[in-house]
Amino acid sequence: MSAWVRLRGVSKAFHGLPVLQNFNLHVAPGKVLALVGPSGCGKSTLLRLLAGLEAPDRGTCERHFQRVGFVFQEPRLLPWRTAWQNVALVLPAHWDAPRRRRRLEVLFEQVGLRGFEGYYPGQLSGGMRQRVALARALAVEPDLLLLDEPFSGLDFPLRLRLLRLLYALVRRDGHALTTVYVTHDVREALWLADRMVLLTERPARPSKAYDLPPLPLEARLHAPELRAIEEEILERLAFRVQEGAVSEV
Amino acid sequence: MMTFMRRNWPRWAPWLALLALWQGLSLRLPPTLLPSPGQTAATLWHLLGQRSFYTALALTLGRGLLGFGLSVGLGVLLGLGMGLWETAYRALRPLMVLSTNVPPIAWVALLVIWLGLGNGPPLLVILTTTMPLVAVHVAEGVRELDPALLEMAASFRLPLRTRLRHLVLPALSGRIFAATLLALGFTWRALVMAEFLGSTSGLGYQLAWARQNLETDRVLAYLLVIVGLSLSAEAGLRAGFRRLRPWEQGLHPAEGAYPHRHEDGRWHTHPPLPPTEWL
Repeated sequence: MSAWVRLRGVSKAFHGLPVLQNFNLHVAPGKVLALVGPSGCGKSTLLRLLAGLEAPDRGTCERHFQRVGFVFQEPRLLPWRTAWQNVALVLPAHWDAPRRRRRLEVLFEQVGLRGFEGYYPGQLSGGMRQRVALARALAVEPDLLLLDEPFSGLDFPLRLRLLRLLYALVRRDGHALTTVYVTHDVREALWLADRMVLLTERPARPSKAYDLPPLPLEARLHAPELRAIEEEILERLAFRVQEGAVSEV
Repeated sequence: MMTFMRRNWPRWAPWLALLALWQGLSLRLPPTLLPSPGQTAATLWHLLGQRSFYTALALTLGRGLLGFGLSVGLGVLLGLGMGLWETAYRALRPLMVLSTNVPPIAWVALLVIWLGLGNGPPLLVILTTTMPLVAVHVAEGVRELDPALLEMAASFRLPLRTRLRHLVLPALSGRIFAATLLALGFTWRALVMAEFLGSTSGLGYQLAWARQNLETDRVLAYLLVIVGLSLSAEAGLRAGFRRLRPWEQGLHPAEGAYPHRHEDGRWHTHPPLPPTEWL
């Protein structure tokens, strides 16, 4: 029973500024959905709506999930707790010590941080901190995983490495964890997602959706159909920049 | 030892200068005005052999600890309340500011009129001068908590207990430490003054009694005791807080994590360096 969320005609404004207007979106069960849009178009608000942290002003929001895992743009770790303690924090309170330890060991193994459990966030590099944040999101055993431009602050090779890690973590034995990945980078979306939705500027609306072929990540790097999509999108962007329609991308 | 003395001269040299100044002045002034350090030390030694000294010391320490503990404890609770609840902040902050701005001596005067001499004035003077100080510090700290971390706590639906213990209190610990140090200084001054003027026991009262009899050596000996106690309390507090904030101790992983045995069976004395590709 996979999680899913459906937004119908959702509007949301902050201090009179419309962020979302008549927004429809279906987060399909067992699929990785990527939302691509310019910075500041309301993507974070959208995630908060999906997670139930925010209520829509108008429209309906059907949420079918048990637990949500969140990865933010910054790691948002507690600086005064070690990596281990930061992840342990979100484990269910009723778990006993051995069960906690086993779970944490698995998580640190998965994100490739064995041996760094005792470090404080200030002693880790940016990529390692984001791995801890990823482990924390997975620690709640989410059936819905929400990622808000998680790797945008990192350099390209590191981003690719973490995308590869994420790809492996959300796809297990043929089916995926229901995931929403927000980014402003088209390529990240093409490499990771089953479905990619482009968003317009604020107020955000879905402008175009692409169903991506179910290829492994390595094949996606060179797949001609993905190249074609990327080129098409870039061309449209370039055209709109020329027209002066895009103020910030 | 010599290298220690040479390297740390800024620590001990001022004390030596002060002592030399004292000795020099005492040679020129009559002992009723300024007894020499040697004489004061002898009086102190004599005091340390007397039962009455320890009674006074115990009373003062008891009042100080009780007053200080209550101030910090209540101040932190009140500050948390004020920080988390806007109405309480707006209602109580002016009172706190007022209370810290009333000179402690005015409190002593009022409290002696209301309560008479005894335990009441010293304890209440400590409370009125230090508790608002701690409360305001903590309240400001709560209001400045990192909204990003609070949002993180909300999105993982962390229970309130977890949030307080792992997010709010550690985030406030620096401010609580600063407020506690300040409170400690205020406590000593308020306590000795209140005992001096509004009590019939304790070190402050002994000080008043010695002054009345013009026993300047005793006055100075009590002063030394009081300063010594306050300095060691502060040092103790600092050491305690360093232990409570291990994440501030530079680039070393959590204490106790190393040495540890790695899964390959080898012993690691130091944490591994991150692979260079991640740096």
